[in-house]
Amino acid sequence: MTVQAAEKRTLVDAARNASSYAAEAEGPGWGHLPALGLIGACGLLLVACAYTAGRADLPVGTLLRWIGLLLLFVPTAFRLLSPAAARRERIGLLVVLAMNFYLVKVLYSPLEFRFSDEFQHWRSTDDIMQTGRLFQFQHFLPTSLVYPALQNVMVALISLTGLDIFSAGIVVMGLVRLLFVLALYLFYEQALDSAYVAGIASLLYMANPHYQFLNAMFTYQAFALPILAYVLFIIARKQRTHDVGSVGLHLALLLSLVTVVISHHLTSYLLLAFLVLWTLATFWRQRKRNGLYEPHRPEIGGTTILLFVLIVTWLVYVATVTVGYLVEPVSAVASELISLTTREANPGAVFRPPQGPSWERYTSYAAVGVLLIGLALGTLQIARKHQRNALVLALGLGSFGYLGGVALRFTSGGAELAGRSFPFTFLPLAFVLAVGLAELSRLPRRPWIAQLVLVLPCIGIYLGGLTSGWPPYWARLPGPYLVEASERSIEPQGVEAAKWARSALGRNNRMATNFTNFHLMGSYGAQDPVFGTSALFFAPRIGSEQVAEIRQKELDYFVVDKRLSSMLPVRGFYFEGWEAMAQRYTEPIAPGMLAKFDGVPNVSRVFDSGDIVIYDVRTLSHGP
Amino acid sequence: MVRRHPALTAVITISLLVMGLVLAGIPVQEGLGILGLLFVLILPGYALTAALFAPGILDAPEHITIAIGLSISAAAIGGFVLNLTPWGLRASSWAMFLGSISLGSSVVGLSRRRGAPMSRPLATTTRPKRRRGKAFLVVAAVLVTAGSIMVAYRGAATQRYPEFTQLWIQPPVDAGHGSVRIGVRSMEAAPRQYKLRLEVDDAVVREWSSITLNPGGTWETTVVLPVRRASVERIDALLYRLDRPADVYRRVELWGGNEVNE
Repeated sequence: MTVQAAEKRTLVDAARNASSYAAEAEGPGWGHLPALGLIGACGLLLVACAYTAGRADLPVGTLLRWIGLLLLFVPTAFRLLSPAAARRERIGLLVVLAMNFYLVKVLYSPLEFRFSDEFQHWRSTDDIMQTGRLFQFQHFLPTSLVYPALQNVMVALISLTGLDIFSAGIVVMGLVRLLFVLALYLFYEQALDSAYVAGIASLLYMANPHYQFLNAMFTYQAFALPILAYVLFIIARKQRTHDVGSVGLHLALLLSLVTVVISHHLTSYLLLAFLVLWTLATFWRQRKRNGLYEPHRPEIGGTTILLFVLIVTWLVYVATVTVGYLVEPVSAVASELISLTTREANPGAVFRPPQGPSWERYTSYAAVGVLLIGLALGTLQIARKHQRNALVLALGLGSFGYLGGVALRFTSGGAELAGRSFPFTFLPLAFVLAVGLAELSRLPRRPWIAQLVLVLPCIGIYLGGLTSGWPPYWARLPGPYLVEASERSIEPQGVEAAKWARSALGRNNRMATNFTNFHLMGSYGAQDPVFGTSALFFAPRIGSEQVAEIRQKELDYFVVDKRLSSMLPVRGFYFEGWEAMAQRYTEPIAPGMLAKFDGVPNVSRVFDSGDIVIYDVRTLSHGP
Repeated sequence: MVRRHPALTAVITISLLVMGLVLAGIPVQEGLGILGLLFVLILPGYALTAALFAPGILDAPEHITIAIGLSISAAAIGGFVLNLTPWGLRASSWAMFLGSISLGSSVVGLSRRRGAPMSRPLATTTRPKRRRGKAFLVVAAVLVTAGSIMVAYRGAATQRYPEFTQLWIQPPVDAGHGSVRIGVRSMEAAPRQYKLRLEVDDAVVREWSSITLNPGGTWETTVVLPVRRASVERIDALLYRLDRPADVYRRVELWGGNEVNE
């Protein structure tokens, strides 16, 4: 670093630090990290015991789980809110917490994938392993094929280690989890040059409803989000580097931008949106300040343009299928929102409150209240003290995206979109909340009661995340089979039927089946399951109309799970979320509807495992 | 004081070893284990970081973050690059690609560090007794975490599910005219004995009076039908458990209109 550059950096940093928070502890020690690490490990052990109890259908599992999850979070929160913790300790605590939360998800199902999205990416990876080529068409999740970054890393790892897809997936997602927590902390730290605020912000981000499970699943969104945080860190770091290391940071930025673009569509679009905010804030705030010139930082604008070009190029030349995939749900939700604002629709009619015991619902609502209050407080602090910091300003503006997620809950199709938006909207929101909380820490005296007051909102947000996040209350513990209950519906009979289909029927047969077997047949079975076949299952018999539909859809097999008639679907539907009686069933599907294929001429019953029967309808579909 | 750089030397050594073994065609992927994992997920990023950043520019958390990020980027983008080549995404092409990155970057990194003074480790300020106490806590945390994994793993491995048996019927791919393939697989909790009856148009043509399968066991056979396939309307296979001989346990059937080798 040149002398002039060093001096300039010192002056700029001094100006920026004029509003730094609680006196930051320095020093090489690890503080209470070893003890808190042990407490966290005990919390994890309780969670593991809870899962075992759940598998044995013992009611004590629920209590064990709650205690374990609180042990993981609360002691760490106390320490991170203390000004006595050194930077090194804060980072260590966050890494331990992040990896413990990852293990909470892994230990739920340590032998196989159970979440439906994971099966889709299992199949994408398997296809590439089989062919050695990208972009092989697959009906299962077409967009995952054109965003192959996760699969590329997986194939490299599997090719050179011999690991199976599940084991390799656990390793890769664990590594990006580590990348995420480090990159996010370092990004937040760059914003205000405060390890204290960065630690609280990172902690609050981990309290979002989907951090433990959705953000840890083997999916391209969960893979791309850490890359997004990594990009933000690199950009923020570049802004503080004048000469030294800038070539390395430029190359790292370029590679990470390309990686995020080929990882996940929405992640790259939302990153672009935030960079636009940051660029606008940067050019708006570029002015003389405190007698010092704010270093001219045009790179943020150049980075934004570069990302835009990369996104458009990938979309136009490779990922055109993304347009159809995103436009339909987004436009449906947008038109509903417009109807709500013009009072053409009644929000109460479509709002679906969180499922579960009433105390969990109230906790979820209370957490939203805490978040909104925290958002207001943090925004006020930013407006008062940090409006000259372009990055902080951009984070403050971006945090209002959370309100959009809340509004989505009042649309019929937006609940899932809202849930999937939280990992993104919490990125700026967590920082704004941390700024607000950190301001409260500037009280002249800080007895332990004052610290308790600071921790309580964090715990409230965390509990709200647990009660409103994934998995839903009926799947929080693994356990016996339930009908159409997401991960509670994955069990050996379905898995073995899928594996039989792969070995006996060959690949890519078009299959009609229920939601759970759709994912099993599409992944382990290597089949081509088809959506939109629910009407065929609900028909009382196979008549000319049904035969015509079978031919039109070119179906080869029907996979019938007789357990569907044993109980109502826990998620509210058997086949597709838009089937006629979705969310309105009062009695299970009639057994006769599932047995109607028996005795139909030229429909062979080729497989029977008791609950699962596979019918060959190729003669009906394609003729003799 | 000039020092060697054991980490970069290790990167070069491991890279050459993995590349050499894979390119020699020795099927050692499963034996590479942790080396393969390092080769893909750690070494490229670590070497690139050494090449792109002079010592002391990045602190430890930044170094780790950028190293992981560069490794991920190398593999993510590498797949796209390899897809454009005639070799595609195979072990050999991955070994060449990632190994080249690690080797080239390590060489650059070593040259940047030639002549660099050795950095002194931070002097510790904790007393030995306190260090022992913290070490004990760390070991205890690791052991408890390992215990958690074992508890969850064992719980998942021993979770009880309803037992079942599979029965299937298929026209064999390469058999002669009028033959079918029948199979039984037991996923029951204990050894089971079965009886299997094969019927053609409701007439029994073959019966296996006692098939014994242990849990996980499979029985398969190809049966040549005694009649011409063209005259058959339906073939049924009925499976019974010998402890419940009156009940049809599993049933499969093949209609004459289905594709059968003619």
